[in-house]
Amino acid sequence: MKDLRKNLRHMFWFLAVLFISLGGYFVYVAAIEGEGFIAHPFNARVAVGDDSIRRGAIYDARGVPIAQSVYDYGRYVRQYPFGPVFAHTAGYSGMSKAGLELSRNFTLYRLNWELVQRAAHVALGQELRANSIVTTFDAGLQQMIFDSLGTSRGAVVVLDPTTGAMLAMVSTPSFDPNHITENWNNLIGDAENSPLLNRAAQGLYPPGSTFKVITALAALEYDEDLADFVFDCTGHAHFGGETIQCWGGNAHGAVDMHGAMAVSCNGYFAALAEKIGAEPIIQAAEQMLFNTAIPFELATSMAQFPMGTEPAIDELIQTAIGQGRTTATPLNMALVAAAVANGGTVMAPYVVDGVLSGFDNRAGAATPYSMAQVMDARAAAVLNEMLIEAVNTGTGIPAALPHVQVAGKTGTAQNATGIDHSWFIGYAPAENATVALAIIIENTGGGTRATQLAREIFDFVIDYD
Amino acid sequence: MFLIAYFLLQAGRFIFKEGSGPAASPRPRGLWIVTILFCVFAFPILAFDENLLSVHLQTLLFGGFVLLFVMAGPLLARKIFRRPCPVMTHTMFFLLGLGFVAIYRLNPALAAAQFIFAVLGFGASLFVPLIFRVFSQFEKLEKLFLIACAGLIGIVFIADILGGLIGIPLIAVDEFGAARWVSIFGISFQPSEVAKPLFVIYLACAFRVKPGFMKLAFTGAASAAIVGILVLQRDLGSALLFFTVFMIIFYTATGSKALFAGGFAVMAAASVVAYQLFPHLRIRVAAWSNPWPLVANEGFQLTQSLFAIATWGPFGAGLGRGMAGRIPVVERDIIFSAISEEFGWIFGLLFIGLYALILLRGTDMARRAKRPLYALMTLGFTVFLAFQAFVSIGGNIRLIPMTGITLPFVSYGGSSVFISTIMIGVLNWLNGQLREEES
Repeated sequence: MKDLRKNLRHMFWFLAVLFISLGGYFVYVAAIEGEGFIAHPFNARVAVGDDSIRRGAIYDARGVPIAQSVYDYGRYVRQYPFGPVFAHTAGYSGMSKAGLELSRNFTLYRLNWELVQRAAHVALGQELRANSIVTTFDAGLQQMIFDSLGTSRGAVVVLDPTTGAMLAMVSTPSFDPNHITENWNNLIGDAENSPLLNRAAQGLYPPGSTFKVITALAALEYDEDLADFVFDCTGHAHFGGETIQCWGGNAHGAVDMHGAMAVSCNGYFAALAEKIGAEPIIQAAEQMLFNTAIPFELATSMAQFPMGTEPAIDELIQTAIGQGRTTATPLNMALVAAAVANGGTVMAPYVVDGVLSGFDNRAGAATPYSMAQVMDARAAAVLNEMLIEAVNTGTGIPAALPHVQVAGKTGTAQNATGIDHSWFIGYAPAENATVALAIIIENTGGGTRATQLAREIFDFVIDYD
Repeated sequence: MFLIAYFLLQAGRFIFKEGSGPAASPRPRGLWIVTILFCVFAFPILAFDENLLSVHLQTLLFGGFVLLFVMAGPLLARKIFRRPCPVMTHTMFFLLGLGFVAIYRLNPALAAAQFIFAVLGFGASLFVPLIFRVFSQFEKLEKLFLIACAGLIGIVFIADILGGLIGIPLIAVDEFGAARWVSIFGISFQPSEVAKPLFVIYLACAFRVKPGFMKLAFTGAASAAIVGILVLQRDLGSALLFFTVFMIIFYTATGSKALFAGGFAVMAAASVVAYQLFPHLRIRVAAWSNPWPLVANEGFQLTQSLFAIATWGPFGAGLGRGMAGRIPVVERDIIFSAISEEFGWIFGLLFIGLYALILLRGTDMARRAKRPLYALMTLGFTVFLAFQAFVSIGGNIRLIPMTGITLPFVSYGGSSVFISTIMIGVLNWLNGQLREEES
């Protein structure tokens, strides 16, 4: 009987451990892990609202409201003071939800100190105020970019490479979230402009010459001395049966990697790819987060790099200059620029900086974290020099500012619509960057509009005396 | 606001309830009032229609019946049983009351059926002392219990073959491919439920004296056969339950760590084989290991269960405001999540605590027993109730794969609630026996 009691105690603890893990895991799922999945589209609870609660506001980094609820004739009405400017980021909350309104729906709907608030509501008639969120956006910058894009289709991503904080994220054409319900059918029917699509994070474009940064990285990682590899550009070059032309048929003469990057010489990078083969390029692209889901608050598309290890020569050289089957989102290309700017470390991009509850304010609560070390600091330093040269002496000249050293790479993307898109990725100040960006403007037929817009953005954001 | 006050009240009462734990002197009055208050608050909330500002009389009527049952039940138990265990009795009634509220809110017709089975089960449990008085030497009937138990489990097979012969399907297969029900003349029941108490009594009889090798081998083989048949019927949740009950009684009786570990090793190996053999098991495991890619299909039930748990925070959506009705077979499989959704996760945690209370109290009772037979019986019934709750809740929250097993007293399931109340009846009778031994 004594043995039996001892055994019984063992079995009790065996079962007790099961129950403790059950309770612990339950609280973990309900209170912690749940935050990550409750905004899932299959959760029908997202559509539920409570009219007696004032939904929380969404603020920019300086406290300017981007979305807010105001009391109007006995009910709360959701207002978006910036209209279409933040339509893809703050999103909308109506029949359905999108953007931060969706991903932070439950934050914006929850009452902090619920019991106290409800008691004050009943006893004193105080309003029930849900939590608000503070974003990293700069509303002035966002508005400036939106105005500058005008009627063009395009997207701009601006972030702080040292933290990953998103300063602006614009996609045009846009729509007015204040009138989403009335215009819904027109918006979803507009296949040509797809105004509901957040091009900045979901639009997939051929990266064009901006991809040369990645080809250069592949070559540097393959062999550092390739920076001195020289190619004699005649304007045309033949690889197998394929002819590569430089833009406008310009002959760049004998160029090394620095020179080729500056003038965006197609022949040079094609020859480089032929020399190192496919595998270093595949490796560099995957380091640079192609074929990788980027963890981000808002919906993203995955940048596609489908080239295999033994491609035909024409696919290899097309891929090396950013054509072929490769496609990237502006967010992804902005992270490429940010990686070079930040010594090879990509900080995870984020847009929500904190929650304001009225009781305990946690603005600035976001903890930036490093998402990936995509290249070593030496490679980043070499690429930095090349991108400075591109802005100082090459195709990037329109982005240059008098008092700040800008670095970057232009691009012209041939695409199925026939008229080329223009790209710019870059950052500033080059030696210690606080702003990195990617810009694409659709169907401009090449040209310098994207590059000029980059200069305006750097000028707007960077304080200098 | 009314709901929130009600939550607080409940939480406070719960803590009080936990505090009165096993060792403390029984305070049945306080526990009794908790259950009554719960029903008094819950049914008017269900009956009140916010939009029409009217009261649904049928709901109040049902609530009245439930109230009568939870009020009279414990009093009746005190009259019939000699020194029943107050913790077991009141926990059961609280869980039953919670179950009626939760099921009624999801599907009133099922709640009525559940209520009838609970009343019948409770009524039947009142005859437990009488039965044991008639068969006071029941431990001599060891083999009979085994035959009855194995026969019940095997009946599904037999009925399947018979049904094939006479051309009438006698087996009801549930939506996940498990053959669990036998229906004869329109009355369907779940033999594996009925087999549970027989299994416990058989094992307790078999292990009441330290078994020799032959005895051990025979008991082990017989139990393995029962578990094996359950696996073949694809009722994997019950198989796991029977297996665990066997292992725990076996270890308590023999203290063999090697065989205990060996048993689980064999089960692990058997699970791998089963995984290869049964496609529906592979689906279950896939839906458990990562439900998100399967969100529209195989993972739908589980992901909806997780949404229900996590969406509303610590205080829940409020009774009647949750959306658990969308989950398939929510009344049986996912009742825990449905309750947590509306009452909040703090309540859910305390709810888990109630089953832990049964475990605590049951092992404490077993510890006090002077006869191994009673100790093992007490433990066996306790484990059946507590471990079944673990498997059911664990499946709901993705701690373990979902098995479709019921949550004792709370889930909808006639056989389950009937047998579970009888188990508490046996535990109450055992408590009387233990007290008698002590004095």
